[in-house]
Amino acid sequence: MRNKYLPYFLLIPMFIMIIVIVFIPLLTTVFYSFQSYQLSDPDAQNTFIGLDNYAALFQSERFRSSIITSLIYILGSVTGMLLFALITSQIANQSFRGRAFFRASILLPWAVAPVVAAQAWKFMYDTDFGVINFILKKIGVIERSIPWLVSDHYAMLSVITTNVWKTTPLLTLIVISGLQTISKDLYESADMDGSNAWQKYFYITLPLIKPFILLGLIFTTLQTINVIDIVYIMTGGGPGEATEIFTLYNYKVFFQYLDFGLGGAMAVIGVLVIGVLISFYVRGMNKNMET
Amino acid sequence: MKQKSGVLFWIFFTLLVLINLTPYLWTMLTSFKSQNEIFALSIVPKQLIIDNYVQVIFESGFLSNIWNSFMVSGITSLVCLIIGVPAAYSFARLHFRFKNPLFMLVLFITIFPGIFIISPLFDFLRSIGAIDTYFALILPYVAYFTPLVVWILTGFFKTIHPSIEEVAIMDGCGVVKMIMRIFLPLSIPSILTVGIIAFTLAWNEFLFALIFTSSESARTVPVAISRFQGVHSLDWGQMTAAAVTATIPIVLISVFLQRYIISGLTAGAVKE
Repeated sequence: MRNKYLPYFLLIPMFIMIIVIVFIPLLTTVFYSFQSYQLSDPDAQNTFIGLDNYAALFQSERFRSSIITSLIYILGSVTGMLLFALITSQIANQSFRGRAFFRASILLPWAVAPVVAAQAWKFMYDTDFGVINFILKKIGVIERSIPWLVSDHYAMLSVITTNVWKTTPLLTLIVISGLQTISKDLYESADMDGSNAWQKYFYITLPLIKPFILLGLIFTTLQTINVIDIVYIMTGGGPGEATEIFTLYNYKVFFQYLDFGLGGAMAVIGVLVIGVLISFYVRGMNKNMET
Repeated sequence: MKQKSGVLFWIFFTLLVLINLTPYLWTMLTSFKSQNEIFALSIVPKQLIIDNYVQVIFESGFLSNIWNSFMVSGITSLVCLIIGVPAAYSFARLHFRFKNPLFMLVLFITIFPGIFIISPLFDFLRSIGAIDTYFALILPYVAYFTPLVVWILTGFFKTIHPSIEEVAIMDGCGVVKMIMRIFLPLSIPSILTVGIIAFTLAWNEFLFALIFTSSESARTVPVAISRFQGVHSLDWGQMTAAAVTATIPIVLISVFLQRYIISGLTAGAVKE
């Protein structure tokens, strides 16, 4: 009797926070997106302009390029992270002397603030005083310094490297939690059948950690697009708009161009894209559970 | 799987450790160099100096940024726990309708990009005059980090076997008393762990901090570090000293409590 409402009662404070800080602003953003709302020009506030903001976006070259840039940034980051996370988690899950040290070394990039990671890598990538050019020249790979962060060709590669360094631990930890759920008996019976290490990995390990990899990829993809810190600090989106990802452009529309209407329309499109992404994920998970 | 500690294993081990540690170690080394040695790019400097730290700590006002971060992160993690522990208990132990959809919602809030809701939040905080106060940061942090706290804690709570609690209830111990006397003491390590995780996230957060602060009175560490290139042009020595000062506590905590934090970050995923 008394306990019937207890579960909801315990959840209420959290959901009030979520509603006030996430849901109401989200609806307000949708509302803004149909308005001409320039923060710099108070007179223009609250004019309903229908879909004009959306129309402006779809005609904007910069908006389109920010979407493509985001896709490259995400794809490059996720590929790198997956590669490192699969190897790292495999090592971290074995018992050997130095495992605690190894695991602590994984946590370091996780614990460091993205801003700090960005500044550290920015310094290492510096054309004249960066250690990366210094070493590459010393070992004779390059003759002249590469302008990593100010050249169209290398800027994207440089920010992706930093993001992979910073975000891989999150994926690694989720994959480790998947590895820990696999029963040792499976490997023992595979041993008796005479399977080698690769066969065991591809036929036992990978299929069993697939749901964890999926979850980890959703997390790291959103983290990648969510955390503008790295791009903001290392290149500011440049050179030109070479590294201007969607969220960074959205930030600029809001707080540099002070256009809350246009920015709102961008945000709404972003939310829709993420919604589609997550619904694919949920569907994938459900299918995984059925089989 | 177990026996092959071969050459390949140790090559990967060394490579990965190097990749993980080098950027931070290089930052540390740089922070002890003089301006000349930084520009001369000496890998091993002739002498190590602490001038950069002295300037950062005593002359640049960076201490007030650290104090702001400390207050904001401390209050945030405390409030996250006060709100999050009951919610996690509810998800882990009690049965109610819409439990799974609500739990999914909690999961997705943790990864919802803040930029998409930031403009109305900015308007709201400005209208109540809260811009540039601790409150402006604590409010969104609590909303964003409580779901993560709940998600991880629910995984933790499920690993505590409920039989002890059931025995206590059967012995005539009331629910509230049981939670206070048995459940909470058993969960102290996990609650501390998620508290540290929430603290770290708040300490490192940049976007809200960048937009909701406008002066030194509430500016936190990440924003201060991001401004180093603008305010002190190209002073890598001071920037790295500031970065190290700001990260050392967090890094030490997570390295020494590595076991707990990893089990915390993995507990949430396991319960799927």
